[in-house]
Amino acid sequence: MPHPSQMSIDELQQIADRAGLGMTRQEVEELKPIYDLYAGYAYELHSIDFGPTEMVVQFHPDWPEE
Amino acid sequence: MATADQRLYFLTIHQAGELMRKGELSPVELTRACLDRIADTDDRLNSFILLLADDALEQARVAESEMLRGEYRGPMHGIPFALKDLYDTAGIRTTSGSRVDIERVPTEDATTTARLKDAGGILLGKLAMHEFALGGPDWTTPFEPARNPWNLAHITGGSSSGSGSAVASGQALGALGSCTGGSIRGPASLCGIVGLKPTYGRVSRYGVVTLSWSQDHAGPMTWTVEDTAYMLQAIAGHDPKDPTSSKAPVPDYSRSLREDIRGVRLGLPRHYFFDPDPSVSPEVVATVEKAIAELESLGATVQEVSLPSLDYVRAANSVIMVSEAYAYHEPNLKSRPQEFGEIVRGRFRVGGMMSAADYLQAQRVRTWARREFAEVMQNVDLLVTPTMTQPAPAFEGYDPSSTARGRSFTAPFNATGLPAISVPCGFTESGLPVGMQFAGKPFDEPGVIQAAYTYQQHARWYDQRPPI
Repeated sequence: MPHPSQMSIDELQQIADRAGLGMTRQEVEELKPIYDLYAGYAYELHSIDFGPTEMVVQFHPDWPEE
Repeated sequence: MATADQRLYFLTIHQAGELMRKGELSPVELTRACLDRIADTDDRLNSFILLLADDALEQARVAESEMLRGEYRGPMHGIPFALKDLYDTAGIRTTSGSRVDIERVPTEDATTTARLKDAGGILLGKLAMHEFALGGPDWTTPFEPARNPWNLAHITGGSSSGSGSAVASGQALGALGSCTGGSIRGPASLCGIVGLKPTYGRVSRYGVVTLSWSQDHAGPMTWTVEDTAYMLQAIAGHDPKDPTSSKAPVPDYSRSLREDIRGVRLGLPRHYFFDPDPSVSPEVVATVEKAIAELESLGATVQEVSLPSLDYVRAANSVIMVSEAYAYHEPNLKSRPQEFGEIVRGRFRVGGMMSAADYLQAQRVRTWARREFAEVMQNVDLLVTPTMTQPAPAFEGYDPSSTARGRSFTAPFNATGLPAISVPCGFTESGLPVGMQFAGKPFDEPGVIQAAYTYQQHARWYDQRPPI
């Protein structure tokens, strides 16, 4: 997976459009540095190898108490 | 620096409460003193978005009548306090610091607002904050940023910016902040006051405008640790209106106001909080190291602990925060984006551009961190760290994205939900406050309060007040 900072403005525009954000190209260009920061965080998170440990996002089937 | 004196607005909640209980101070007199203090200073501090002077005086008169009849409600009775402007107040505008909500008037109090009123507190007004509890000082929002009472050229930290400046300057004896990545402890540290982020679920979030459902916390900001204990007592406890509220019993926090840290095992995650890093001020670290040495001299034992997940928890906290914020704000962000300030509009839009896989991976890291903290804290009672990586930055040249970059010493405890308190532990050479953070096991607010209280009583930094 390429680092998000390598993403082009066109690619970022596509992501913004898919999210329905209605952003102009200038807005996308201005957003790029802060997008890179957060997408960089996400990139970092995906680099983790948890090994054999099941690192679950939990779901509890019990219903809320009255 | 000013030294604490007999000016009424510099009384602590504890001191004022004792005087009122003995009939030596009137809530009306105390409320007038705070309102006068606000009138004298808020043109420079910008702590308040909305002042409720007439309402406050009316509430104070009611409290005075109750006290004269012998109806004493407890330590918050007659105490002037203020709320970050994302706590709902029935019939009173609640803006979250944003043009988006500039005309929003809730019909119901937040549970915390109602509990403080029931405890007899006097609501002075609504406080400045970073828009929707994220970002930094933003001149594209309708409100001027709050300024740091220790040096007006410096920021307060945030997002509970007005809460920090109001309490530090004596405009209010206590305030509520909210905290998703450090917004209570950050301004507490940078403004030289005490701030507690309770365990997730300890204090109701009902009626507190959401930034990130799974990481938002409500908590007190005060001048001293005992005042934090009193405010927490008033607001803690189960709330059926908040589905994440805990039913764990609420202890008597005043019992933790004991000067004793003998035998307490303090864990020091040195690799993340103390080792050199470009985002961390050596002066802050040195100040906190000195405070920790004092804790050892008082009988605490210190041992290094390793928490490898710390290197990733800030990233997880950030991705979860903007993703959940986007989910909450999506309708307004799509229909009237121009009403958001520039900083928050950008961050929230980024939240809409994160993928489901990004969000889930962040939640998995959170699971990892919770497991790791639980294991490490079997062998220590508390963790002790600096609260912030830096002292308060100056407005001039301030980069708002700096709050989202580098290490965060507060975010790990939002992601894990553990209780954490910031207590003043000294000053930089340029006279800016530095805070030390204690974090405990789930629902061990008594442990973090007692450790912070013991240090506070030993170091007595509370004797020094800002020069404003």
